[in-house]
Amino acid sequence: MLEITNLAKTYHTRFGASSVHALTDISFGVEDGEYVAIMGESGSGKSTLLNLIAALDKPTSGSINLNGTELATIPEAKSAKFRREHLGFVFQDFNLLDTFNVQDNIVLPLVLSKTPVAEMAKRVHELTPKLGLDDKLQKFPYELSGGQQQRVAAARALITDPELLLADEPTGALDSRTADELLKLFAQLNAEGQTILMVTHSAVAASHAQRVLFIRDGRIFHQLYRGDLSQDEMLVKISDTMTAMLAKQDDTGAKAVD
Amino acid sequence: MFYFHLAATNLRAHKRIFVPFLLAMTLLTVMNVVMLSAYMDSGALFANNGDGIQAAAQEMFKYGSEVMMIFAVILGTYANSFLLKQRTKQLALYSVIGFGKRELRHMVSAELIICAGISIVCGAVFGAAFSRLSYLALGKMLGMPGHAHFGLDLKPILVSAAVIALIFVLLILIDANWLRKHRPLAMLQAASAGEREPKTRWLMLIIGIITLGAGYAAAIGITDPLGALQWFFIAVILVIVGTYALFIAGSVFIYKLLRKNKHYYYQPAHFINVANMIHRMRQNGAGLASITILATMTLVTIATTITLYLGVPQIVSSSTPADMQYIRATSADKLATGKVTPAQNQAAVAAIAKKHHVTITKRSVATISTGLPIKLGAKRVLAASNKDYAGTFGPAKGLMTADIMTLANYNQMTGQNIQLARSSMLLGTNTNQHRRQLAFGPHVLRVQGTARMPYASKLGGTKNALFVFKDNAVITQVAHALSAKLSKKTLAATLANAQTTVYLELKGSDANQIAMAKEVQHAKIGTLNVQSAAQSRSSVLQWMSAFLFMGILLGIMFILATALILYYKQVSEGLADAKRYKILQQVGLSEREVKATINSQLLTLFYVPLVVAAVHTAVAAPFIQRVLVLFGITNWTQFLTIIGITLLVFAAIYVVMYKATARVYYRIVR
Repeated sequence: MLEITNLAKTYHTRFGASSVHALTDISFGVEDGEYVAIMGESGSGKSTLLNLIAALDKPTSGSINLNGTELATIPEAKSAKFRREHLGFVFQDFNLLDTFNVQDNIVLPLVLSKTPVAEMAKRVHELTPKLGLDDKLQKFPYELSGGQQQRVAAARALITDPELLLADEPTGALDSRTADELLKLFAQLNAEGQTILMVTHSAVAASHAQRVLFIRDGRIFHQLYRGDLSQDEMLVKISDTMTAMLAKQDDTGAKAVD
Repeated sequence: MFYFHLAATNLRAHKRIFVPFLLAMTLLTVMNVVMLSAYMDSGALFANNGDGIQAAAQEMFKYGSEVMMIFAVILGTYANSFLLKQRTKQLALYSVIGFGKRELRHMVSAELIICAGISIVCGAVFGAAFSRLSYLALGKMLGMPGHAHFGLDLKPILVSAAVIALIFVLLILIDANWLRKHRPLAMLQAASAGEREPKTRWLMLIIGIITLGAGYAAAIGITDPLGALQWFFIAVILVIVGTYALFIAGSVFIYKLLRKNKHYYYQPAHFINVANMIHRMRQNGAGLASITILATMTLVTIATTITLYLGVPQIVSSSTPADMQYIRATSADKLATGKVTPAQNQAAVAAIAKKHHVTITKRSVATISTGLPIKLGAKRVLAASNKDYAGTFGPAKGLMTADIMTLANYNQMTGQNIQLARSSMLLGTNTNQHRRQLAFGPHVLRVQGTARMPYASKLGGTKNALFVFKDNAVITQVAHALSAKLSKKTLAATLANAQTTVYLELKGSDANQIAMAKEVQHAKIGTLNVQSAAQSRSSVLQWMSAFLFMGILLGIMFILATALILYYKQVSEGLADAKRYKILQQVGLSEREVKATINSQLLTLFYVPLVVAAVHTAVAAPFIQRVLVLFGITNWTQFLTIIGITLLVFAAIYVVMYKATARVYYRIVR
């Protein structure tokens, strides 16, 4: 469903004196119903990648194709609408609006799409029990725990029934227990057919995915399929890959010194 | 020294919040210098006027200076509290790198001391320049006389500097106390934790509705000028309280009602705004109410003072109906001071007029036997009591002063030859009222005709009537019937001492008329208490131009305060909203939609104070008009036109201030 080919993004400093290659050459695909994790250290370019897929930013070269729509062809004015209708977002720091209660935070994308009130109520009614939020609809974000807030954010992302759920470091602000709950929720959503693309630097988070892509220096360094492995076995494999990746990094670092 | 160095760096680094603070404090210094200069120089400014007016003008400018000082304290602390709030993050950073409370206090104090230095020096220089300029331009334009030092004197500058320095001392103490009570680091965490939704404050809402309703009711319901004057300040306070309460509690209430209406609320355009406004109003209700009150004050002050200034001819003609009047004290009169005959008196006055190139175009002589406070009913006349004047809603209806004249004196005044029976009378009023017959106690008199009042004052605040009776016997009978307290003996004494006043219509320049009046007063030709319209015009003009001068200065002050609050509101809201709009963009709001949302929100916040201020002013207008009637200004349309123009000009200034401050908001939100 998502096809990324030869994607590159270069940032220029203000006067073009120097440039930073955030992404050099990225190609991969995400199948319908897949759960893909993208791993990498800070600065590896994984957030840039997510911003490009979300059409929040434009690539320097290469293409992103979501279910047959070339993102580059969407005019600026329509990109917000596209984002609203085809993608769902979950962020590290939840990004809930403190002026809205839980219900209003969840229906926000629907309101922006001018959905009838009855339809909104129906969708909230269907979705929230699954996330354990049905008794918290009238609460305000400040009254909720971090895990609950992240579930509200997930509900907001899922209410539009998006083709692709994008998660940017979703467990980053959660303690390990609530992080685990959220990851289980993601796995359950995936089992029900939701396609998920998650960016993370946590090996534990990545170990819940079916496939893990490793990014380093703006390139795909390696990819791992989970296959029939248990989550713990997957975690070990991920850790090994990370160690290898870091070792190689030290190598290149040493070479650079030479 | 280290702290001063650090403070200077901070000031440079946080221009966005310090520059307006410095600007505000400097302008406050300037306005204080101007006001104090006006006060300390008021003796020179009003040198040509009588002691009474000099003292009154001095009193007025003293009041103006005090208002300025109070304003400086309020605005100074407001700006300072904003400064503190915006800098919590920075102070927290300093405490992270190891600044204790003492060090923070030293740093903040050093900043304020630098600010004080800059504001006072700039304020003194610009204040002196602006004083001189405002005196030369405005003062001269308005016809303010005298050779004042205005702006060249050191004393007002020193006093203003002291006032501003004291305000800064106060700010340093406030900041020290704030730092003692708060831990910036803890504040920072609390600020990012999100805020609780404001509750509808029912008590405040009810108080707001009641006070605003009462204020409006007073403004609309009190139709009597004296009552209006009594109630004016109470009404003003009621409306101010009501405005604050309604902006803070009422706005939350209304937006919550809107939120309950699902089909309205769940619209893209309303959704974000309504939710934001509910949260925003708690922080901004007070700010918006302040802007509203300041705008109303500006409108009312400027419109009223301009009306008074332009109304000088009306004021003069109502207090001095004729061009010149004096009490005649000739051999024919009871108050004789010499052996001058009425004819000699007339000739002498005419000679003086000729000497000063003034022509007498009309002359009327009125001998009024006595004046009585009465209530004129539909069928009867009652004596007015003290209670009638002290009513809660101003004096009772139909209350007026009745001049009582004998038929002989009336015929002499008008040159007519009217006959009256003992049971008949003539009735004249300056309110154009007519009666067929009037009962004075048991005595019923037929009103035979309308008495002319060629001399009567048109001063609207005081209603005047003229009763003409056949002779002193009838007058005594009638007056005694009105009030048993008026014994026939005292009445007889009063009637025997009836004063004769001469009213003259003149043609000639004001200066000549004034010179003539002075000579008539001092020549020993049997004249007492000479009053000249030209003289009164000149002193009223000075008086009103001083009023206008102060009105404009206060207006500038109010506008400055409005601009300051607008600016601070935009900055603090911009900082609060920046994150919200970023989230909205991520969730799927295009930049254009974000901008449209911001616009509609800013415009609501922009229009509401202006509209409410216009409504306040509209309600206050008839009320103020009634007070203006006391000054003798009865021209409704003129006042309304002036209010309209003032409103338009103010709206234009407000739009400019808004545009300038909204740019700051956009820049932050981006």
